Amino acid sequence: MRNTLTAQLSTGTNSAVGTGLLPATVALPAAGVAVQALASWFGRRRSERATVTIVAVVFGTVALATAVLGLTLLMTDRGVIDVRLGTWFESPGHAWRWRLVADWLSVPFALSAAALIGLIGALSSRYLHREPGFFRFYLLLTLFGAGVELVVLAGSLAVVFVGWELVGLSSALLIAFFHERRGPVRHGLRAFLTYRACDVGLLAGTALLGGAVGSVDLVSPATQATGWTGQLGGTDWAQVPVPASAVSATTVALLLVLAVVGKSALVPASGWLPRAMEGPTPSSAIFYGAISVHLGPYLLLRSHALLDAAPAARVAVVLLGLATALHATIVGRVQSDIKNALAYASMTQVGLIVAEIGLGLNLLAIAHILGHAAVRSAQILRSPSLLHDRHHLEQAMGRTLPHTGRHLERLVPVRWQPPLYRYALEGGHLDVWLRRLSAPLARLLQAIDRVQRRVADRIGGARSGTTPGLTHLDLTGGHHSSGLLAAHRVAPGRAAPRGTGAQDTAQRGTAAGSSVGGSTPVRGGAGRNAPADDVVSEGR
Amino acid sequence: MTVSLGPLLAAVLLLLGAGDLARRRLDARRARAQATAWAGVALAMIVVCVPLAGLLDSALADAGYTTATTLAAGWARWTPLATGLAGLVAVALAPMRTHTPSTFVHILVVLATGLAATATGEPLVIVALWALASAAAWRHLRDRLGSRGPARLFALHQVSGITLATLGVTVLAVHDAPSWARTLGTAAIVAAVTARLGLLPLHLWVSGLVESAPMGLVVVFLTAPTAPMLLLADGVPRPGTGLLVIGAVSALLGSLLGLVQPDARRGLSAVAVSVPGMVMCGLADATPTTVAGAVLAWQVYAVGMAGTLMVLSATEARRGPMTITAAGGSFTRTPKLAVAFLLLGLAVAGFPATLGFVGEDLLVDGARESSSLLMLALIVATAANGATVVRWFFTGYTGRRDHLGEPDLTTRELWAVTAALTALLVGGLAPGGLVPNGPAPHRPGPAGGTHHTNTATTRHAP
Repeated sequence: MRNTLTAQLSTGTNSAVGTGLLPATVALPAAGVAVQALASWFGRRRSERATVTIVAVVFGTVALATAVLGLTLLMTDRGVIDVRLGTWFESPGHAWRWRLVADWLSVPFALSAAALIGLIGALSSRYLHREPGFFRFYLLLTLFGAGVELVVLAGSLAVVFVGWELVGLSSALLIAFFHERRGPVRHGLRAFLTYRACDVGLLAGTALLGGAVGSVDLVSPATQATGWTGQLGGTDWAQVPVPASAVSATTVALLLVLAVVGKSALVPASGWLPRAMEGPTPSSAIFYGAISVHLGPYLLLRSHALLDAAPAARVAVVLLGLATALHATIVGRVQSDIKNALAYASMTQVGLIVAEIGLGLNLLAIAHILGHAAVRSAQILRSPSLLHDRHHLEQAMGRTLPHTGRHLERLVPVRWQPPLYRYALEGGHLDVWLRRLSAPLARLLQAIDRVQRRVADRIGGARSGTTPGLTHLDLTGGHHSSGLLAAHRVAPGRAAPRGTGAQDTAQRGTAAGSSVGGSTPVRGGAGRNAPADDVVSEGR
Repeated sequence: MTVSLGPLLAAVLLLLGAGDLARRRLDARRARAQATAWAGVALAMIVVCVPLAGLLDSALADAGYTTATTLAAGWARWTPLATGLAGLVAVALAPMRTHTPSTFVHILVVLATGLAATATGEPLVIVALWALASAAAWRHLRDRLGSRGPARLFALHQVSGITLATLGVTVLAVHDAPSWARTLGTAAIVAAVTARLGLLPLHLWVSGLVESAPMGLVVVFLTAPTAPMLLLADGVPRPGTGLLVIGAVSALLGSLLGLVQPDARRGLSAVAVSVPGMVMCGLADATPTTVAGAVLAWQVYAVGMAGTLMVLSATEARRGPMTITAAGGSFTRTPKLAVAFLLLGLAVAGFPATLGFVGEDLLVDGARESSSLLMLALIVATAANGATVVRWFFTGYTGRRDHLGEPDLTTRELWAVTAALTALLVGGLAPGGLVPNGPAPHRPGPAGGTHHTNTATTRHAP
């Protein structure tokens, strides 16, 4: 009844090359993750060279495999290599099937992703040499690679979702790579919260699509809806299936667009991208210059037929893209840090790419993505040497480099320049708007929590009806300093009855479990001020 | 009444262990070692039963014992294993600072009742086991925290729940009861399940318990499968829309409340309200897909939440309470604690590449067929639960360079956590055989007659 992953490889019309290589492009990075994770978990000593070799071999092989897949497509004149790996799990009313697809859309993406990850891996061996998180970086890079290959080679939206989430997690963890500083940690959390909120769209869209069409498998180009015609609007690749109902199509398309907004940092959820540059430069290059931010446009390209059936969603895509490009190009002009400037430049280009897809200029968008990925990742990789490069260039030229962007000063009317300047300095006020948007929900949740604490204290007969303060639901960045309300200090209650066990646990507790006598609950922990040796000897 | 001998014998072993611990006056360290050994043996007994079930069942049938089977089959097939593993994690990671020898005695008793509940489909027996577990837990809470506060809240909820469950089960057991009585009986069971799981509005005891009580005891009580087993028990009709609404609201509101909590224990207690809410949605919806998803999600919840809460407890024993105002921790110093917290928590939240994702996918897909709004509620709850876990991972395990010299996972802790992670991650890679199945749960509504549908007592080899 139940099949497993190892079950069937549907050969069909696919060649043995395709059925062998296509699963390998996903399985190899996954195996690389498993090897590194097990070694880390069990504390095996590894050399940096061995780790780099693993990553290089994995992604070198994946690049080679995808190149062969591309050649196979070219030589056999087939549009799609479709491999069904079998059923992962199923219940009487539902089956989750692994399906991978290599076509003219996925092969260039998979090839460039593997090549770039391999190159970044090689470069990082020097950049992160003897860095304490060296092995963690490579583990997360490999996890990211596995997620990306899953997304781009997925034959169904369900598979896309798995890869999509792995990319998001590895991205957040790499932003917080320098975990001893608060800033990167806050920004990693913000990126993850943004991803998580927007990924609701991908999961809901996938589920609704499954209900409307009966399957979330990509369909071959021959059965897709008529595409937007135009010389640069070819759509000769597998597509997300289209529901018959226009309402369903629009709903699903808008949900997918929501997922794209988060992953590709489109407005209004774009604030995480400049902050993401806190991560190591190589990961910034590969994630936010090359691959991760382009997964949103990739999903839109896969959903081209769906957008055709949902004009409202197509309009939304164009508007979001243009708004992002405009916002990012304005804000990027005032950045004083090269990585931030590059982040906004990247956002500008991604916005333009999204708008191109919305306008149906798909081939242009693909060329734009591949070109932008190569150039931007190179720029970010080189960014730590910016001053050196500039001085070197100026010495070679014998004069200072000319100031760029003067044409904008001429184009924009003088009276518009001050408000635009303020807009840019404030980052478009997007963070403020997001905070205002989430504030009512946060206040409501805080009120509910307060009420239930009081009710619990009343019912439980707590020694004092205290309610410590709550933290803000800070969806815009998790700034602890700004997101905190200090807990109200209250008069200590009567001494708690002492039981047979540890007295620290018996100290306090209102019915709701909150501490009575202080701003933080008193529990069995040693506390920050406890002697370390005491913690070690008693806590274990 | 059919009885599964594997979990029953494991429960008996645990009771023997509890008696042995109570009789010998051991210090906390030795008590923990003994309790870990007893929990390990009980789990090993269940594990051994898995491959031998077919053989032993044939032998039992040949010997004429038609009401005995080795392991439960059907929906609850893997539940004893998940419960046993959660119990092992609870005792192996219990910090001595917060766990006395008597705590381990009570943990073993509560764990034994949880395992015994998986051995039978008889509702009255399950309610009796629930009462025994509640009494053991309450007694310990009263001794440690006093009779007021969290202990009183806990007692009020559990006594109400047990009373309602007894009434409901008794009414439903009457064959010629009028339809209104059967409706009332079903409603009583729904209310009882709500109280047992801590679903809204009867959830107030959960956060108090998680914040104040020894975590090992909390874990074995929260993850005991009493409520799901009661709903899947013989003669209990489909709970219907009432529990569906309660579950959906609990899942959604619990997950959102988790985002605004000022300390990790309260944050995870909100997740501990949200995930059982999702499970109840699946059981109430009662399609094969949602029931499979619900039971699997419960099993993942048992193992994952046990691990997450115990890792949190172990961390707090090393360096103090994990609050939003505290200064975080050094990831470099405790990488395995941090990674274990993250992975176990993400499994509970249904993150891809874990077994939790399988349960969540089945739940979402099944819910979509019933209602798009229900599906959306489950998806949002899943997203928010994941955000809560990652928030506390970053808040509690990163952000500092200095440290107190706190150790990472000890060897005992490492192996317990590794077992839990293996179950959740390897199970996530090959979940085919772990997805629960059974006869279609088309049970009559409250007004109709009831018949045995509990696959937990269906006799067939696993």
